[in-house]
Amino acid sequence: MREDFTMPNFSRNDALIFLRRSLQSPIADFRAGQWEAIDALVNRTKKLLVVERTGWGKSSVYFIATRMLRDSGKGPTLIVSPLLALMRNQIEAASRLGISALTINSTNTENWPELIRTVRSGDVDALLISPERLANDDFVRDVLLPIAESIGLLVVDEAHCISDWGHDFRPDYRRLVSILQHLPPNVPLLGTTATANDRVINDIQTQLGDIEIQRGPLLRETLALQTISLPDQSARLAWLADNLPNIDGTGIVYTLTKRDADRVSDWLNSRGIAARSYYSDVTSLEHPDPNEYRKHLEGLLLNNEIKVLVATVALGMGYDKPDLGFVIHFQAPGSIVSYYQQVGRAGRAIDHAVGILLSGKEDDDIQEYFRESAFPSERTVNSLLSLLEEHDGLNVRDIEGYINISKGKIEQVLKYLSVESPPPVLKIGSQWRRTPTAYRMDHEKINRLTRQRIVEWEEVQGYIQSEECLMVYLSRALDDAHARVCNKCANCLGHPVVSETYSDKVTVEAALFLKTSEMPLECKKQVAPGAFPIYSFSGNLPINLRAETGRTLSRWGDAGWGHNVRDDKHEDRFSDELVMAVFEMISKRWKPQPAPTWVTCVPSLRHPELVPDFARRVAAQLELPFIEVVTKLRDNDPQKLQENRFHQCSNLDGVFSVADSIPVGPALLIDDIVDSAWTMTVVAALLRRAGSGPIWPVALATTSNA
Amino acid sequence: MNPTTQSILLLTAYFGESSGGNHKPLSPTEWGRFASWLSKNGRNPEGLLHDTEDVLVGWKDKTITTERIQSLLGRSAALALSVERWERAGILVVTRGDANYPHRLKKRLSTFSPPLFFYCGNLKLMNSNAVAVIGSRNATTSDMEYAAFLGDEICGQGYSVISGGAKGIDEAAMLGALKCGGSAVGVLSNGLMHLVTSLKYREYLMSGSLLLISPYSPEASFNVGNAMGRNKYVYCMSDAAVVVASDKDKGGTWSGAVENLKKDWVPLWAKRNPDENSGVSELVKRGARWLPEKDMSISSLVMDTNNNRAESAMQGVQGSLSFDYIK
Repeated sequence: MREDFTMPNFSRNDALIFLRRSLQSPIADFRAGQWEAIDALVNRTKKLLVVERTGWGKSSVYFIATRMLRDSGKGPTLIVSPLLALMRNQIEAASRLGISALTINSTNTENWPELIRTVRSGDVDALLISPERLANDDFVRDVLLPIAESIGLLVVDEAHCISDWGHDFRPDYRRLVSILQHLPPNVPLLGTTATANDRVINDIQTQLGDIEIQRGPLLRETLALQTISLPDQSARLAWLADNLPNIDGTGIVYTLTKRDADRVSDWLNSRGIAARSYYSDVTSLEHPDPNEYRKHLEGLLLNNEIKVLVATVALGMGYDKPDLGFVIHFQAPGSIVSYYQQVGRAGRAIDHAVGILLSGKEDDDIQEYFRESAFPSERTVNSLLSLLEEHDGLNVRDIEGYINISKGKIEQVLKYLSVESPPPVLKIGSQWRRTPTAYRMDHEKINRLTRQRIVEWEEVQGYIQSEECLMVYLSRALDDAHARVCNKCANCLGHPVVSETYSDKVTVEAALFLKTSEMPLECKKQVAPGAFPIYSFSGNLPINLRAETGRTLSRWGDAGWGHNVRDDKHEDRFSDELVMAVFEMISKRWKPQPAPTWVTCVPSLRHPELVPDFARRVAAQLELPFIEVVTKLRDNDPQKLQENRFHQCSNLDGVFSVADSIPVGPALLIDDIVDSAWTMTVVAALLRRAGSGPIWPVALATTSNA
Repeated sequence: MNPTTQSILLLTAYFGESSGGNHKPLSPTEWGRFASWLSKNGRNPEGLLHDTEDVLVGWKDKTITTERIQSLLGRSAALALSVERWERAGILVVTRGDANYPHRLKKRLSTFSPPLFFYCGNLKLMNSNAVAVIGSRNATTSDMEYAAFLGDEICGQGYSVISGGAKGIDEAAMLGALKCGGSAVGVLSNGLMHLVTSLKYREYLMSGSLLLISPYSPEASFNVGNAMGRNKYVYCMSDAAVVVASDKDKGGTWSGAVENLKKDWVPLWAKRNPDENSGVSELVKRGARWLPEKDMSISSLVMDTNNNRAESAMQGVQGSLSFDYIK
């Protein structure tokens, strides 16, 4: 027998030498559980789930294990992690062990051929990929399979995501589970998480079978917790502006939506607090690529170049900044586990950090929306499946032509179906194909998960109202056996950790800020093929038929004017307050050039007076003539029911006509609600074609979920 | 999937297009040799996943080196990725040790029978009474119509149609059987993944009247060697075979039919062709017989000369028993 085929048998001492080398400390020793985990992986080929708090040193475990397995002739380690890149300090520690680690992901596609060659040549010891890569069949076939011919150790970061009991179960992790279930017992597996309660751990054990559990204390002793109830957004913005400067260090403010992340960030900057917003597809003028920009933003916070990153959950897993001074929630997250996951990033390697949960009246609605939209409707699923049953395969664009469902929703439903077990659909190349498998939606499971989400949300309400030690409350929700009173939180102290006061003056300014945060309104440029036989629009609309960039006053139902628009629409009359708001937006802030010389509006047969009445009053304020030149010829289906481009276009063909003679000057075109903006696009084009000057579209609110 | 199947897959299957890594998966014969040694020494493939060296103590072979076995077993992550994808398409694996593995094939081919089949559909059809319909991808319209008629006739008399699952004659015969409510088995040399999700076969797979199988990777692309190799499995899983049309002295249909005559696996019949120089005429000269044009009785096609064939099949069983330790 050749020597390299004997089982590796490494001692604690061997591992300790590696630990000290990687940490550059001759006296470093293992934290509780680290060596036990390494031993289970390298000497006993175990499957192991490690539940330890952030900063415990899980990367030391898998890099030392990697070193040992590589030394014994095994293949490289595959690390599946939602992080875009290993944190710099981890890469450095790994390189001191002579481990070369690289990442193959969507940000470096142009280097793939070279990266694959490097991996196949055997020079790579650790390869990092994201879970969504694993769910991409083309990537698996072209990149991963050739590499997977020899994998010595598999690491799954943030392993709680594979549990559908978990607070942030993700479809990509469901694919991962099913791959792990097929993994033969001759490969060791390490799952790591810093947040998992008993139910999640049991679920992972059920799904993966013989996985061993190692669990350490989760309590973070340096963290001072506090909750503050400020229902109005303007009050919370004022509180942030007044109190953030007094909190030491730099940190994160979490919001539930991208829109709120932008808004809070804009507000803080306007108050002289250096902030940036961060979410999955965030971009800036200098950084059009979201992946690159996100890395840039992470770096800004890491190096304390900004005070705060205002982020959605997209900034989460694996973000490891040892000196993070605070985590503040602008809105409450959906579960205690996910709250702990986020707040637990603070105070890792500093003596004192604060975690403050603000909550507002909109949280409930947003959480309900998240719950309701988590699963596709049976109707959508059935129409998609019956369509695929009639074909060998279809791509998403084909599907859009056949059924009136938005592209986003089509993709969401296909993704949902493709991780069902067994899945009724399968993607081969760009085509979605129906598998020969009977399928029924599992309503019982959907109901169970939805109920679970409600219970989790109630638990968050309990935390907000709790009068006991907040850390004990969190630890108990996480089934942490080591829970004890922290003597640091606002409840233990009997007084706030951070002042709860804020000034009236700033509150008024915040309210004004919310009411003046209108958005640019961009109309469409390219029409769906074959959708306008009557108007004969095709391809790109000629520039002289396009609308200018207009303005939308608010987001439907949102803080700021969004509430007013919704309430007034139901009353069938928009108030003078909204007239003044639009008047001020146009004349004080926007000031479009060339300035409009007349005002018109989009007609409606269902509410014939609502918009003209409003437009007439706005025109009066602007001292411009209001001229109704657009007529609606027939009652088409509501535009909001048209879910994709083809249906949105074809629903408008031949619906409007424009008077023979119209003013030639620039005009304001007013409508109440925009969604896809196709109505504005079409009416503007018809006006231009009839001889008007440039068209400035204006809407009261948008319902688009951008 | 049980660890034994995993182990056999690791040693014999190709994962992805370029698979094999530094070492080629074991051929059916190589696997037969290795499996038979394992069995003789009271060891099993599952053990290879836990303590490889222990299981391999005493193993010596020129082509199947210990290093090659180690390297093939190291492909576990590739196996997990591949099998997960195949299962999503509804494709599973049956190995030589499984009760559903085709009995007739194992008897006739002994150690040359493939270590495993990928399959989708009704596994029970694997051992149903079946008549093979053989012919080319590029067939004439009248031959295609005849194949469809034959499919209809075969299923009407209680047999399944078995074919190579290719376009042309194969497809016509299978759909002929399926459309009249009968059952069919397709033994593919490539493209299993696409075919199981195709419009024409999907509903029959779901209703249990069709079984598609392949000894090659479900995502393998077309390869002449595999196509030829597959032909013998079609014959060996059937009770009788009908050649609808064939080139003479060339092509897969011809060489498959000649091989069947030589090995005397199943009775060979041919669709009557007046052309003296046709492939089928030559096959008849070599021992095939013309298919009756009227009142065709499928069972009489099958019954013929079955006695002496059964005897030779039994000899195959003797040879194969020694390595079929897995039950």
